[in-house]
Amino acid sequence: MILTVTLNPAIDKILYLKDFHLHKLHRLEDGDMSLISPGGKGVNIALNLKRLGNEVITSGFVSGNAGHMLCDALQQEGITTSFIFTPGFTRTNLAILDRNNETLTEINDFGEHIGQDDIDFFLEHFETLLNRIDLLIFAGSLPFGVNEEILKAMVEMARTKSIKTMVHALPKYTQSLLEASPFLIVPDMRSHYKLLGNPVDGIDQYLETGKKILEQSPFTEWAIFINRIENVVAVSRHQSYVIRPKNLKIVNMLGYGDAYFAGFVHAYLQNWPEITILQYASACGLTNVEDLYKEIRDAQAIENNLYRIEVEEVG
Amino acid sequence: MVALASNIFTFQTYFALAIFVLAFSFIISEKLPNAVAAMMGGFLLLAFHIIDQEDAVEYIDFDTIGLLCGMMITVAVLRKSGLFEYIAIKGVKITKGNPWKILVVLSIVTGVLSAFLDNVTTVLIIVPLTFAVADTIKINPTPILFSEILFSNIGGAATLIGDPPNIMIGGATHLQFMDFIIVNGPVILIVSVVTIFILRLIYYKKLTSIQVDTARLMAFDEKRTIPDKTMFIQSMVVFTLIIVAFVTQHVHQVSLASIALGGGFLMIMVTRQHPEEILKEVEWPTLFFFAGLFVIIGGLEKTGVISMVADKMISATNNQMGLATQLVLWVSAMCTVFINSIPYTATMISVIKDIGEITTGNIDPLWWALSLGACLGGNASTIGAAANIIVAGFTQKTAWPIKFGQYFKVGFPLMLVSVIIVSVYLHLVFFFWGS
Amino acid sequence: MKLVRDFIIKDISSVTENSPVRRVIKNMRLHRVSIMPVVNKLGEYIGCISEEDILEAAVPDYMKKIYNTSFMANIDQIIAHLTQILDDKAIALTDVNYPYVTPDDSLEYAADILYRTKGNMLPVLESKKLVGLITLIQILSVSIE
Repeated sequence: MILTVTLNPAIDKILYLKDFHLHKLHRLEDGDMSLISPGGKGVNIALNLKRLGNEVITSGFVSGNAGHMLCDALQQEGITTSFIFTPGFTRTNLAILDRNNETLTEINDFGEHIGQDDIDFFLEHFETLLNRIDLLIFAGSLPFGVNEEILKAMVEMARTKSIKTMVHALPKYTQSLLEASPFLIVPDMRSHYKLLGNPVDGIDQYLETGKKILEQSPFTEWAIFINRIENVVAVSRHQSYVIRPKNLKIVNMLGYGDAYFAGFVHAYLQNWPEITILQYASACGLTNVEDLYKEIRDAQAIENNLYRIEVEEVG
Repeated sequence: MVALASNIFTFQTYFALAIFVLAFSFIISEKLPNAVAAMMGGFLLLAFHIIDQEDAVEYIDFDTIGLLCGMMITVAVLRKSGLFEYIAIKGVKITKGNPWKILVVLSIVTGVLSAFLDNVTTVLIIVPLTFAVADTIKINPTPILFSEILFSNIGGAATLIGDPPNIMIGGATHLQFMDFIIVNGPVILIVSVVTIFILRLIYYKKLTSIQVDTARLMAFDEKRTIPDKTMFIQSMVVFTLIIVAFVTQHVHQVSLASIALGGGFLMIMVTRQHPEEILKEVEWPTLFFFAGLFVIIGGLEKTGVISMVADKMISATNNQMGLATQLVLWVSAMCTVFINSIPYTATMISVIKDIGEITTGNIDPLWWALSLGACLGGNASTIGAAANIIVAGFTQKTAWPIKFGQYFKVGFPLMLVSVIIVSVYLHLVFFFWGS
Repeated sequence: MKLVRDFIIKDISSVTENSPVRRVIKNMRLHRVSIMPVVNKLGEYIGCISEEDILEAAVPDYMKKIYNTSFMANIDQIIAHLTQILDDKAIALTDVNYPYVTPDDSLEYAADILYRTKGNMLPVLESKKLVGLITLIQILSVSIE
């Protein structure tokens, strides 16, 4: 059983338009598409993991009608929900995919403000969940009112029960993560090019930063930079890798990181060799971006895409 | 014959006595429910052929049981009318939230209700209301509860239907409803006034020094207590009829049991209640307790134990009725401090009946001594009467539990005072002015 | 035969035995449920706590004994007493005998229990672990689907 924690989930409103312009009224018509689905990084990862055949519990904070909608939708997918309801309304994140111009516009709303009382109860509840899971995933941002201490608290609580934690979060949390020291760190570098105060972009800098992370964080086994899909850089305790997909035909980047991450988790749980894990994870990412939806809908396609992933061992 | 009975103790005598002692100790120690102890005791007497079947049925005083049952039915319907709560709330409102006045009013209400209802029923109605009032105006309800315990027993002594000892005496003797009011009524009035006066000495300062929030008390809405006005009026009319029938019993000579049972079912009929529902409210264990008890005491009668006791009493008092009266009064009061007044009274009724057969004098003073002694004696401790046990038990789960010693300090002296008053009263009425 | 397994709502929201009553009420309101499973620190199911259980604890004993309940309508005793127990632990009010089903029980069995207990929700357990819920409306809905 895997637990994914999403402290700041959202309802994703995704519009697929043929031609998107600012300062213009758009009426959806034939060929356009509008989707509403549960969202937020941890939730997306849970959806992908379920598609890949894993049993998943998902927890975090939700509120209001949107919160109920989110839980219902996840349960429909066969995911076990265990959210803490807080006063207010779960946010809506808007994504507009312009299919002709191949642009993706995303607007992520503020999250809810979470009170200390709810944070305390979440941790109390989280502790009870630890007894039934094999792996903990934390993904996404922290809502207002929740400070980074919670990351350390969760990772450490999990570690006392010998549960590994895998994290996919914004680079601004990296300093706290180095102290928490989870098993896997995947910084979410979309629209961020700085990590630990230094600009980080390009294979060399990724490799260097990945090694630095492993040096400073005693329990971390993997650091992976995925935001350049054509050059994913993974650093493990044994080896560093650059992973490149062939003949990439990007349809929709939305949900790429979450699909990649879910793929890594799934492959890791199969006890495959490192190279196979990385291959599978990238195949998941690839399958996702070549499809219209934000999560993997066709698990079969992953197998077929495995051969397109090239893993190079470096330094 | 008396001498014979007291001299020859057979196996039967010992067996009946053993059953009696066993059943009594089970009842007092609460090792067995009253009804079970009494019925099993009665059964054993039959099983070992100490008494035969016809005798057993003969010994059961169906007039008493019918009267109890009828009153239980009547009260069950009356409770639904909301009358009792209505009276209590109206009374509490008159006090304007003065705690001492609340004590007085609730005591009077308890006393009056007890005179016409079973004491246990009365306190079951009054005690929760008292807690509600105390909780609302934030006072300690203990003094009020003490007073209610006292007045449930005092009020109960005033009428034939007020308290189990009186019901049994009424059922077993020629004494009628009005006799009880005429003889017991005045002394009960005196005892009530004296008791209130003593309680005032103890509690007045304590209770009037409390600042209370009167407005909250006024929010009680007595109109809500009566769910159905028509039914309320119907039950009131029938209840009045029943009381009139009791009062005029010397005219029409219809038995108490018939009046009560007839009245009860008339009540069910007029108010269109479901008999299943009302009959569920009847305390069947109590009725079986009485039946079993009558059989056990029948066993004592048949084997000569009762005659022996009666004989001893007569010789102890030198055949002087005045002395016998005092003896019965004080023994009754002291016995019922700790033991259940019902089995005690049932036994004593047999004894006094026996005395009546032996002596030629008027034994009526003995009946009154038994009635007043057994009713008032119960006031001494928290286990002295069924109502006391109910009240004390109810408080245990609350913030104001009544402790045995705490109550005894107030109850026992007050009981002594009341029995002294009764003692003087009975002497004056029957042996000073009467003779 | 229809099994609970196929109708289970996979929600394992719960409170812990040490959660204060205040938290239980808050969760019930926000989760829009009238009954909450209670688990211990190890995540093992202990029992359920319902709105009725909380009310039962809040209503003073004397009020339960009053034959005619309505006359206290204008007094806020229940709320006042409830305020006093808000910091009590959930375990104190938990019904440890609240019935439950397992995924392999039949829907019929769940309906029978709900009928007998007049409840509208049953926790579904798998070896002491809460795995979800089954609600009465789901069972009723089977007939119209």
